[in-house]
Amino acid sequence: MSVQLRKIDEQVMVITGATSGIGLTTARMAAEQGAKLVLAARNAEALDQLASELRRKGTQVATVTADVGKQEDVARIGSTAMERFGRIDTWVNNAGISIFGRNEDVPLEDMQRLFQTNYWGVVHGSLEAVKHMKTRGGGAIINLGSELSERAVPLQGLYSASKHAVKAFTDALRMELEKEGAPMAVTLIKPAAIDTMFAVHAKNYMEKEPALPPPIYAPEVVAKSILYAAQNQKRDVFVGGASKAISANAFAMPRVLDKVVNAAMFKQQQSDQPSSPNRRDALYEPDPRNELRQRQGMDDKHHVAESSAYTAVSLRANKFMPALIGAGALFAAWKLTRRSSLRSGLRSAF
Amino acid sequence: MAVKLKKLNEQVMVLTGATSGIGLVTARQAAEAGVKLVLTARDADALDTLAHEMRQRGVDAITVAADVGNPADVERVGQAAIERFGRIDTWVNNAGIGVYGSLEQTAIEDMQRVMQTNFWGVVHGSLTAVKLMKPRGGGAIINVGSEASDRSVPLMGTYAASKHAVRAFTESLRMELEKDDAPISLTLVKPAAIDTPFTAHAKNYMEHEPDLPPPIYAPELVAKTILHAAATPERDLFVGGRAKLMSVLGNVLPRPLDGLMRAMVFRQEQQPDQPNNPDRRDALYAPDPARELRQRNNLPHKTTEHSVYQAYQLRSTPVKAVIVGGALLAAWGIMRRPAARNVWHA
Repeated sequence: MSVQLRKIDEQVMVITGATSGIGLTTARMAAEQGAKLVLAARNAEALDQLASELRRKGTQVATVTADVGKQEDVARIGSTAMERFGRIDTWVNNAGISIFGRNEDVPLEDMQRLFQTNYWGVVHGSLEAVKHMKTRGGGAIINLGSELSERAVPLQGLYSASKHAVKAFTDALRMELEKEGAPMAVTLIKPAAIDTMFAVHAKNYMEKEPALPPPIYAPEVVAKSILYAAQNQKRDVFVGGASKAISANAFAMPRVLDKVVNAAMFKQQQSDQPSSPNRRDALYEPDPRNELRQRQGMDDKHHVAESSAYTAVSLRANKFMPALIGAGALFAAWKLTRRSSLRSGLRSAF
Repeated sequence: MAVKLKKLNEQVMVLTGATSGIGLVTARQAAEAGVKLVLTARDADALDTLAHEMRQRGVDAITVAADVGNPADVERVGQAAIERFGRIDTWVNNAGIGVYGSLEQTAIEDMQRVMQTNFWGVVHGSLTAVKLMKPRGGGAIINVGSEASDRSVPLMGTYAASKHAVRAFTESLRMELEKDDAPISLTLVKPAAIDTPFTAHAKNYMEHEPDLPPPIYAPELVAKTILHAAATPERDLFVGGRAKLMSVLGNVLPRPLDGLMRAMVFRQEQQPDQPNNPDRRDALYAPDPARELRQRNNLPHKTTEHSVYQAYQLRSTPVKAVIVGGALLAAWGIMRRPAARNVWHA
């Protein structure tokens, strides 16, 4: 059964983590395309500022100061959306945070706080969304995983674990809703490294400031994927070909990837800047100095890819995939019936 | 760097969840192999009974009543092991629990409790083990994941999430230890459905008693795999060909597998003739003394006592190469026979 979703300009969209990075980029892009928005983040001032910016452009916006790690806060996001707009068409569980450092060096409380935001935030948000959407014509739930939903890396162990858990939760929820025939699309978005405030907001236990491994993509590439999935039922989306490549390698040759990752990622996840002893992060509290920024500005060190051919094709692939598979099967059948030419072909190939 | 591990009969082994299912079978197999044991579980009485059995057989074993979800408890397990034996050679993070039911039905506290035992229990155990092993010559840490570490399952969403998280944590910790050249081997064991009291211990929100999808394998296969990894460094090991199959399908054909699971798994996860008892007891928050010290649950299915895939997997690389090479040669030989080639025209 395919789920019918509205166009963006007819949608009410909830976005968590809306005052920074991917969430902020998605909010602005959705506003431009005419969505009504319910924006949530922990920082009330940043939310106010963003809301007035979007209202000046004619967007209808409600804001909710909320910590997605708290179920009662997430319930307030849902009730605010219903009171203000009467329905929710898309709920984007985007809020997330990381910690850089070896598993042995990170205190348990920090690990738990990360899990509270990244995993339980998605659980709270998804279940709140189901509650409001299911009986009101359905809609889309879009959960932000990561390329680290498919493959763990060193120095971000708990982030990897939280994003693996998000994937499993999202996959189970999707299967359960499909079994019921609920009119809901559940999408997992798996971005590669993105130029956002991620590394600045992350808590750091390394000697150097955190960095992201290239290739690095623009947050607009993720926002576009989110808005695509808000209108077209998609199971999952890799944002950036690098994300798909990591996933494929993790499956096909995990041991080899261990070596590659260990050779490269310890260095790639640290910049050449020493970590300041007074360094501020956003693990427990938002950092007002680093709010309302879409990007950190990594293009001074790396090329930031503004588009991904892989993602552009994969978003639309289900339209022509049956044709491709059919053509492939026909071609194989034709080859098999012409066995002698196949053999001579193989001989000449060697 | 290759990690050297001791022979089993020279080892001190910590085992969590030791009073039931896979943990219990592993404890008994390890005892037979001459391992000194530090056995932990939540139920002190069951531990006492097990310790008594072990001592009667001449096994050097201590017990620590502990909840792996509580970091202070896990710390105590480590301390007790060091005080008694002076070192730990293998630490098996086995304790685990499930909740059956749709995510919408399941209370958030129940989800949190599953995560606390299955995921945080592994985090607490692994980090305590690393801390105690690293300055004492190293050893093996063995984390029990699941086929649900690689592919999620409906009606077991939180269990799958906890086991996915276990895989990621294990993978990341392994890479960090390797980077350090720490003499520690870290293995993830991923069993398919195993005939243990798992379903009886699980909390249940479904209309019927939980059931496991066939084929169901014997817990002895998992124990054998764990003991293999205690003596031979391994990255990860599946137990049961089904676990491998689910992993492959989940990676290569995720969407068709969704459909297959919708068609089969919802049904397979429940026993149609056993309605859920409203007074049903489970072991989510407290152990269930009535169901302790049982290796198997004896579900109404045939239990597979052997796994060809597992037997293959535990061979050394050269032996694997010979097996695969032999199979390819045989296939090539068959394909070369004119009669076989004609099959294409049939």
